[in-house]
Amino acid sequence: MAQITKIRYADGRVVRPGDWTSTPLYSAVDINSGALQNLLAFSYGEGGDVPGSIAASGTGQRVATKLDTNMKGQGSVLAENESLLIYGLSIELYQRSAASTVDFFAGTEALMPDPPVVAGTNVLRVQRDTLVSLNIASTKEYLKVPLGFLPAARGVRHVLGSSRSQGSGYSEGVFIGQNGGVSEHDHRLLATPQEVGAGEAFNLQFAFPFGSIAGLEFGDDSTARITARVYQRGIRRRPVA
Amino acid sequence: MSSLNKVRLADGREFAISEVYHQPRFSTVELAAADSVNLRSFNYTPGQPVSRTPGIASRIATERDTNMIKRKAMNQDESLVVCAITFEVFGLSSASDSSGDSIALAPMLSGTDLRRLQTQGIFALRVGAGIKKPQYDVPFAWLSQSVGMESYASDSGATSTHVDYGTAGEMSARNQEVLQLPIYIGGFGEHARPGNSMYFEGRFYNPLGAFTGLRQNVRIVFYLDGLSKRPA
Repeated sequence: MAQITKIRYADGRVVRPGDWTSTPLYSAVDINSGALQNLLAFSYGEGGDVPGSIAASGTGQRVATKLDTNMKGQGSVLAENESLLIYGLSIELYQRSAASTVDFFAGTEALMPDPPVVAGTNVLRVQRDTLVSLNIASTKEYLKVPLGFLPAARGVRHVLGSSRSQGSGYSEGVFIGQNGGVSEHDHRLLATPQEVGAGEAFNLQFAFPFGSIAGLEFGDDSTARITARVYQRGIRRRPVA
Repeated sequence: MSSLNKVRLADGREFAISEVYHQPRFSTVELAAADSVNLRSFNYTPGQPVSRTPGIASRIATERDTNMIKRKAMNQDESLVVCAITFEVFGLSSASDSSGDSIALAPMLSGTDLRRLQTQGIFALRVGAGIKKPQYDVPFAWLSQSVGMESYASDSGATSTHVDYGTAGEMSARNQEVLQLPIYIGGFGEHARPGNSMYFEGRFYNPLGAFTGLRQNVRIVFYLDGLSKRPA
């Protein structure tokens, strides 16, 4: 590695220069209807496969882009020249679909808005049936809570006209949900920050103790998913260039 | 237990080593709309039946229902400092108005039903074996809801859906009362170390019996939010 990672003074003291940033580390997983396995956020890097996803072609998984994660390397392990302080975690949900806007849910449950907005009923189902846990160094869980305990604190504060989203065929109005509040002050701050050291394994596991999310409604789009994008809140040390 | 939990120094002094971290305890109760309600919470672990009223089918708890390790108590190597109490709530059945139009499709719980729970429900937390006075005992309306969904609805276009949805306050992690006096659940004095457990239990009930006008069956997940201590 060509970077300066350690300076030793004449008196023997050692300092490790670092570049601390507030840029959050983030990672996404895709939640499907039907039977679900555990999904691990932060388990892949850019170019890797997004857990739970399906490629647009309908076969294989979606390749992660910067929209999915800013993890480097293979994922699951923090790079040797980075460290992480986690003051909180925010989880935003958005609807992913092959059909972009028009009548995505036509003929199914009433009240469904157009992607990427998520129906309120589906948000409640995800909150009801999903458990997330923060695993560090593969020793134990440092947080294990229902998904709703970690609000997105991001999203849109909507104003809606009569019975319409962008789709034109909605006759019942729309009902939109977000994982908790959408403003910055809505996030949950951990009373005890967690640290992920250089080279330590970590992930955020999405578990589904009931085996699936009952009633999750995607209409007839088999490629539809709800993407859960997790943001680490806190500071991150990067290598000095 | 394989973890390091006690260190004896050369001079004979002992230190109990533990890890304190932010981890709420949560527990689920389920009630049928027509049933009298007197439910206990934090009284079962995953693998045991969820606390329910007779009109709700029995089911076995998963880790989504509760993270209790020992029923009605903190485990012997744990303790909890409760700094806030909050909840999330779901409809277990859907609600319609008198004309049959949908107003709350499960798992939505109608705001009207939530208000019914607020006005007639009581939440109590008891700590300590044989202790009859609750450490915390409030009308359900006093508990703010910090876990749930922020939502927006258009007015109905057609005739068959008229949304009625509500949450107990703004959907924000800040929307929970920080207790002026946190509640400690664990050993005291010389017993305040791993190796001791303490009884505690939540209770949700309606002194009048059944909730007047309640239309939906309901699931409530109570959270004791705060600092947990566990072996290092």
